[in-house]
Amino acid sequence: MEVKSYICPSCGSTMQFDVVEQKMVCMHCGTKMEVHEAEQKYESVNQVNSSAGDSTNHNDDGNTYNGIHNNISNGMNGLYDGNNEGSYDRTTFKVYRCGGCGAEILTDDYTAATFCSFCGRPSLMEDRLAGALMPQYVIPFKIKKEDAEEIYRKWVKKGKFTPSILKTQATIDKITGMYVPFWLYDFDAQIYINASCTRVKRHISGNYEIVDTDHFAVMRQMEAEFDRIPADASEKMPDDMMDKLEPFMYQDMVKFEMPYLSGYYSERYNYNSQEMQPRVEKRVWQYIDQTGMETITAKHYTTVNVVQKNIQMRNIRASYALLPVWILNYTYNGVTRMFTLNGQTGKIVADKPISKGKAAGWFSGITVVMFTILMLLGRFFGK
Amino acid sequence: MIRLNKFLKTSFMMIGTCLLIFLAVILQKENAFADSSDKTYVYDMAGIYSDDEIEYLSEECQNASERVEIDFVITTTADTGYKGYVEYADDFMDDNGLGYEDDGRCDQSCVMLLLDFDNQQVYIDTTGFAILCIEDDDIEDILDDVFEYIPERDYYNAAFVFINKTYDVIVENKASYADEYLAQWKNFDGTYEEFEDEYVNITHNIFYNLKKPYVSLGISLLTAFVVTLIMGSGSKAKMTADRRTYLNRSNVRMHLMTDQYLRTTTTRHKINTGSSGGGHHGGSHHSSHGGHSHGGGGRHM
Ligand SMILES: [Zn+2]
Ligand SMILES: [Zn+2]
Repeated sequence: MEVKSYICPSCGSTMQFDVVEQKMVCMHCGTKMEVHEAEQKYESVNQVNSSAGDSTNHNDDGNTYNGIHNNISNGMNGLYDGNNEGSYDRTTFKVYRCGGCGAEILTDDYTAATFCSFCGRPSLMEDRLAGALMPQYVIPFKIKKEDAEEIYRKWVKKGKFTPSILKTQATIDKITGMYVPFWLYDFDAQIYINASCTRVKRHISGNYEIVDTDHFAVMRQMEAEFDRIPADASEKMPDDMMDKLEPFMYQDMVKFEMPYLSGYYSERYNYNSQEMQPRVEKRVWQYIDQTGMETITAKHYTTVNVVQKNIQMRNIRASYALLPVWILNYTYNGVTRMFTLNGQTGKIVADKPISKGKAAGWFSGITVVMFTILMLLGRFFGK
Repeated sequence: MIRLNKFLKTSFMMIGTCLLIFLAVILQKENAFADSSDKTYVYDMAGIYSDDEIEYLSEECQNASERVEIDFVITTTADTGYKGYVEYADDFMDDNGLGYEDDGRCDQSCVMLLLDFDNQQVYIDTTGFAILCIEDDDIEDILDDVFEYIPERDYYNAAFVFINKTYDVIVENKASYADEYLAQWKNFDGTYEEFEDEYVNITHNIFYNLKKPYVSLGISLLTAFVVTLIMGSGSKAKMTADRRTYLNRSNVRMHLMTDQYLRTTTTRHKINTGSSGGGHHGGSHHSSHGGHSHGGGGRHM
């Protein structure tokens, strides 16, 4: 099966999504095109392609969009995904071929957007982005590659213990833009709190301190909705790092269209929305708990003793979205580490390895200098 | 047999020599005790004690004095010659040169219980190292114990308990702070006031402790550790999204919100106005006519 690429109508080269223009731009002649325009222009072509290539593929956009919605709100999406997984598995042996040079494109089971490893052409695995696997939303990249590299360079410079290997151009060149699959959950949560609280007033009368303690019976019952809490559905991405990349600004989120992925990596979700739900439920539990308790602490009680607390929550919907992340994998001391950058806001989440030699050097240097200064101070000023 | 005899002989000789040396040492010691027992520990001018009582009290005083190197003295009087009890006690100590040290120094160390029947006062007078070892609070504690017996006119037990309580106080305070100054006191010739100014109540500046290498090293290591830690972890990303990020503000419904007042409970505590010493040691003191430093405190009989 031939992969999908967006070909420039003027010169026949490939077009990519350009961060600065927020449009499709030809890498060769600079021809520009709106994302929507590109999508429409190439839609008919791939309709033919995919129906010819895979008869089990449901490719009616309107239907599948609603399909995901309905099934998730019915809590049946697990079953639905399971079915789809089955039909998908039969297609994993499919060989993807580059539309430019005809070479086989190397992918794993989840890759949805990549580059031809021979000619470098941006290539989309259309069947992994359509039907039930079609994302509902995407936040396009806002940080361009050069900026991501610059942010990385600054980050490396900031750390005094950063191993020198991180500063090499070879490492920097490995930075890649990736649309990471996320589930965005809407939850309705309820909390009931019953607490006994006190407010203490102290005043002095003669030689005595008088402490008045007012006792209160406090009750709260409230309901709140938390919208679009993200959880990454990719196995390769560490959950804690992806959580820290938040917040993503949802005002820039748009309806998914395939051309956004041209020039970036992407993959389809590894886990369905039900599999990821427990992770989000933990957060919702915290959120509603904090929201409820805040209405009590706002009253400035001296002590709050919760007698009874009851939390309930309900998943309203889960939406499938691709969110932009700049990623740099590197190896130090045999351990693979990751630098990630929110492709929309520029927030850095990374584990920076510490060169033990450098740290030890600084530690002993500071100790010696401090010790000398302190002893001299004691010697000349100590009385 | 002969061999064994020889062995026994030498053994006996050796044991004998050892015994002799031991005796000599003991005798020497006895002599030493004999020397210091020339001192008078009980001055019973009011004549309230029997000879036996004076002997027992003197023995107690002497034992306590030897152990803490501060002389314990019991004085009674019925006629102060129109002097106040403080003046009388100070002068009595100065005039009789009371105190443990015998090196002719200015202020010697002594604590004296004065039963003044002229002024109807019980007074404890301290001088020399005793001022450092017995603080004002301690004087009150000792007087509390002594006054268990004063109303019953049991002056023997009053003196007896004075010696024991004072001895305990000195031992405790020496261990907690006074022993730090012992070496300096031993080589000091002057009034206690001068000693205090020079050694006890010195306010060190913040650099003083840096003279000790382990203090400087400790601070350096700690600083280096903290700085290294900060340098190493300064750029760790934190979770910045929280419930406010995802809360749908138009969809918060408060179904129930009550803060019902139940009752008020009241407790009262006495305010503790205890003054803290601020790190200074020793009792308060004044100068006597003789130019010596004296501390102490008394109570009406
Ligand atoms: Zn072109
Ligand atoms: Zn190719």
